[in-house]
Amino acid sequence: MRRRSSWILVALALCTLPGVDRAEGQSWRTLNSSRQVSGEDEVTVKVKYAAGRFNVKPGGGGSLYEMMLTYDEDNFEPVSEYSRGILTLGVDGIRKNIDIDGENESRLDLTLSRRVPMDLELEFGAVKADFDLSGVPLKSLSVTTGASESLLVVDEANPVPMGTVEIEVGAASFKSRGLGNLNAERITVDAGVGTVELDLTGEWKRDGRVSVDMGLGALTLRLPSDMGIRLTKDTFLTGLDAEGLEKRNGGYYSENWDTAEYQLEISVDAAFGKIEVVWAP
Amino acid sequence: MRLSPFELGSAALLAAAVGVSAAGLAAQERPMVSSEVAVARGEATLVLEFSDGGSLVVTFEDGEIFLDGVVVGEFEAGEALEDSWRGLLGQAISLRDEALADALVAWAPPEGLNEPSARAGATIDQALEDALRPPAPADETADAPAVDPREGTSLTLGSLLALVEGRESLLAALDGADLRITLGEDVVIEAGESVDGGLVVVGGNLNVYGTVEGDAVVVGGTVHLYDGGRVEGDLHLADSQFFRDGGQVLGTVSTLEPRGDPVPGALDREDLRREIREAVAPRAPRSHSFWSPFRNIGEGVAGLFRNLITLGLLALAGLGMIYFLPDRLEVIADTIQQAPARSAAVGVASGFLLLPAYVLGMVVLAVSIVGIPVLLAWIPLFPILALLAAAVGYAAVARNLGRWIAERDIQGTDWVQSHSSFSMLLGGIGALLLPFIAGNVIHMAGDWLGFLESLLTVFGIMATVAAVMVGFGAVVLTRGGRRSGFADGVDFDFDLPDWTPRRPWREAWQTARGMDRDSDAGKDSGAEAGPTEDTETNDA
Repeated sequence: MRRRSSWILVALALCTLPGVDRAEGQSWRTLNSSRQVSGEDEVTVKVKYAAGRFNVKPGGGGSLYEMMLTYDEDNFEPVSEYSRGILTLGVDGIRKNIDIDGENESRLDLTLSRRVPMDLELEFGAVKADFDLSGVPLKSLSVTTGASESLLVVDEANPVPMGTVEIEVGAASFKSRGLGNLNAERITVDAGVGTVELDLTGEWKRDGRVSVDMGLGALTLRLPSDMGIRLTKDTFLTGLDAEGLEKRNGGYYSENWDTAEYQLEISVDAAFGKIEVVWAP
Repeated sequence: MRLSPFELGSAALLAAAVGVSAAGLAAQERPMVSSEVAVARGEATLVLEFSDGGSLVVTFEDGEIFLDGVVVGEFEAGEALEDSWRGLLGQAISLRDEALADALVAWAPPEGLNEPSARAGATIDQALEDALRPPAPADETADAPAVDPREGTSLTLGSLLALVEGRESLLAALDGADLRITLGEDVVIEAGESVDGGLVVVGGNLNVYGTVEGDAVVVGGTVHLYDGGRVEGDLHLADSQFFRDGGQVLGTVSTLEPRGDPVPGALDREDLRREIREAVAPRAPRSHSFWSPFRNIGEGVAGLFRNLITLGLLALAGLGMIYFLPDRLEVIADTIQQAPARSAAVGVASGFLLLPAYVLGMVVLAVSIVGIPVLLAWIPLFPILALLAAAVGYAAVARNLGRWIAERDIQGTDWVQSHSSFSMLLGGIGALLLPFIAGNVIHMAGDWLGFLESLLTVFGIMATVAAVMVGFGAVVLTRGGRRSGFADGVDFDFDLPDWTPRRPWREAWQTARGMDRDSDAGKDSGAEAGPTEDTETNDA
């Protein structure tokens, strides 16, 4: 089911690739929206964005969020709604055939509160995305991308424990840094076509599990050397460069697997491509 | 359109809701919970939400100034008022909380505006101040001021209609009337045009050159009764201006401007707007009326035009192929003629292999880092090339079909000449589209021939698919028209196996008549089948 939705996103993204159906003229509109924190214990934040630049960063003031959106009002309408703890942001397409100009000026800059714990859902299509979620209190995180170039950065530890991180990548380049700081129990990555770099370094506060389901492409795993690592794979035509891991009992183990304070179990299910393991100092 | 009393009430409430002014939303020391600034070429909007659930929306858009959705004035693009407003919004983007409130309250319209702009600017200024720094709340125990819904001058419509007296007044005016309700758009009653029953215009202007036979209610707009224009009932104005430009109102003209605050929570503009739309929408089903046959004709003509345009576009594409790739098109067309079965088989097989080839290509490119950038080109280009090949193949089939038509004496096809590639192409495409065109013509006759129309459509689709498959196969066989081996008159076609069903009785019958048999198998078959009833009959 999730894989199917990945391909739907790929299709959506392909339909919005530059030059597919160029608009003769576009009407750009900017929308600046913000909301103050007003006693919320927790919120669910859903962001949906089709094409352009998409940036998320942590905020420092008393705002629950601050959004600056530039979009083509001929094709999209903005979404900025808050009701009963659910905040919905981004754009909705208003036509079936979306016209995206080759020099797309669409942009969404979003700042999220560091004060209110949140369930965060990010869904985007043909987007160049930079997500800096450092220090944002995340209870759960879901990232769904189409044909995008995404970077997820978590340089500061998540102050609240998180259940599952779900990352769903269509045809895209997805890079990450400091996923260990997410304080997550489980990270799942479902990738279609493309390159995926998972940097699992950071401040792990417990054992973790990472599962990667990949169609075809290149997967790079950047692993923390202070954690015990066990890598298992179920692959078809996929090469594995597992330097620093010892194969035994059907899995690949780091030397400190039995002695490390925390253990990280990684399972990879891949069809075609290459898996590379890189060790962080 | 006749509306129920409930809908009439909703319309009145909607009218009331649209008229709620900023003053009605105000409360002292009102914490702001959200702000929104939207700026486009023709628009500059500020939306504020307060902790008590109230809101304030000020919009400059396309020459009009709206306060909570109601027009309060007009502006010229680029004039000082708009510049000042945009400047304020530019500041508001970077401000929060108290700083934002201070900036908004401190704003004032610039000096030197003309009177309408100055009045509109003052209205906005007052609305901002009322919303953000309202006066101390009135003593709740104090008596509410007396309201005369037809005479008030400094009152708000929302308050009036929240009061029973005002609401009933409007409802009474509308009760029993056939109503035409428009939301957020201007209405023009042309000279000679007559509107049955009443007319409600909310958030728009009403320009009357003709006749409104019932009452007219205008909320948040301007009414012009031009020379010859007439309202035969009453004219009710709410937050509106009235210009009697030579026209006349046979009934009375009343202004609905109430005093006081609206009942808290009584009016939710969006909910009411939604209710109205929901109530009205089911009343406009696709009718089966006097006009139904004309609708079929219209749809049929539209379909016909669509197909003719398709024909034109395909012919144009074909013309391009004839001009730019004449030799290749010729080779492909000849290949289809010389080896139709092989072309079809290759076309079907290629059709099935397209997707695996597509995926395989992606795999090959994706497994290498260098190939991944190429993958981005591969993903869109492969389907485009496949579509192009199918189009060329389709044109080649159409050209052959055109040649077949040219070689026959078919009435009305004299213009299809075998020495003109374009006429053959056009004739062939026309023949392939003929089932669709016939379906359009049949559609004009009405729904009762729908089955035949569907049959023709299915036939047309099958013919199109077959043409594409055969043509695509020929394109593949000839490598896009570069290999002419299949088109040189040599029969490269399959030696198809004999798929004729075995008929033992016929074989036995032929044997009995001493006819030539060239297949021992056939004899065996007949023998295995044993004597049949036919055989026995003939033997006898």
